[in-house]
Amino acid sequence: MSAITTYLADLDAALVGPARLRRDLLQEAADHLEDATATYARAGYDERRAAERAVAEFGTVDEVAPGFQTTLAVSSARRTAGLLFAFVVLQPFVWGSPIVSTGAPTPGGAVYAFLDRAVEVTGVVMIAVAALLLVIAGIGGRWFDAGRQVALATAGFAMVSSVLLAGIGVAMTTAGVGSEPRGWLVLGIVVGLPMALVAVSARRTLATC
Amino acid sequence: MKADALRGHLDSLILAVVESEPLHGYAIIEALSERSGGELGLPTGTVYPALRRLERAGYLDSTWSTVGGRRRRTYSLSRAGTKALARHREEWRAFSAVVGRVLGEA
Repeated sequence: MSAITTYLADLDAALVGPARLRRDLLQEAADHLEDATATYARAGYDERRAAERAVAEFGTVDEVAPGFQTTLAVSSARRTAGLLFAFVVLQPFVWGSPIVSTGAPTPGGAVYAFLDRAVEVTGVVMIAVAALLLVIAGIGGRWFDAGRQVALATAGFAMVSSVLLAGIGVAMTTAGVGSEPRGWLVLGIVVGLPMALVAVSARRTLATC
Repeated sequence: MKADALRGHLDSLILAVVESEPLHGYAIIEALSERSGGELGLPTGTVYPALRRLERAGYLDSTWSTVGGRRRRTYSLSRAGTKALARHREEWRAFSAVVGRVLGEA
């Protein structure tokens, strides 16, 4: 096994994150090492020593992996923030659509009114924070370096948001339609499924931090 | 020259080397090494995360293209990157002029 193959396998083993981006990063590293090896071979090194020198100049896995891992973490965070933003923005439109809305009057009672207000407020906060995290993990890099702390914050916020929104949804359905199956089915499709996707994405982002 | 001082300006240096033409990672690192007279002293692998960070910030665009018969990720300066580079140059000129004036008085 060549020095380059061993090095790339070690680097791959040290990285966690979105598969496609990880593949791209490793491909770039492989391209670089091949180019550097060819340069040293032209300068008179034998192939083995040329590859070893290319690897040595690239940096040890301990030196290089943290930067690559941050790239993966921020990319994963952007995906999680994007999912949360999209799903929460779509909620009012979906609930108001003729497919979901039965046209029945809004249930009365103080508890339902409180939950209705709570879902509005938390929804606005979630949209604002998710948008902010999207910017920070993207062009925010012009002003400050979005690192793994941003990924950690995004994962934490998305996890809490998904649980909170699903919880409020369950409470509202209980207070509103009781045990009527259609209400629970709609809740599962409109809130449960999207929030489960957000939670899974958040968990993956957490693993990259 | 202290390598740390150069590293603090890595983003500007990268933007400067892709200013004239799109380059792939190895060519960018070769250009950095050549233009700095080998003073940069970075493990070359640490430049790639910087390229990705600049791309996220909208200063670089990148595409996979075929160079010399092989697929390479090629980076080019975006419009925002051009403006940022001009701004960095201006700030650097002002900074070096001030430091030069002060040090020159000794």
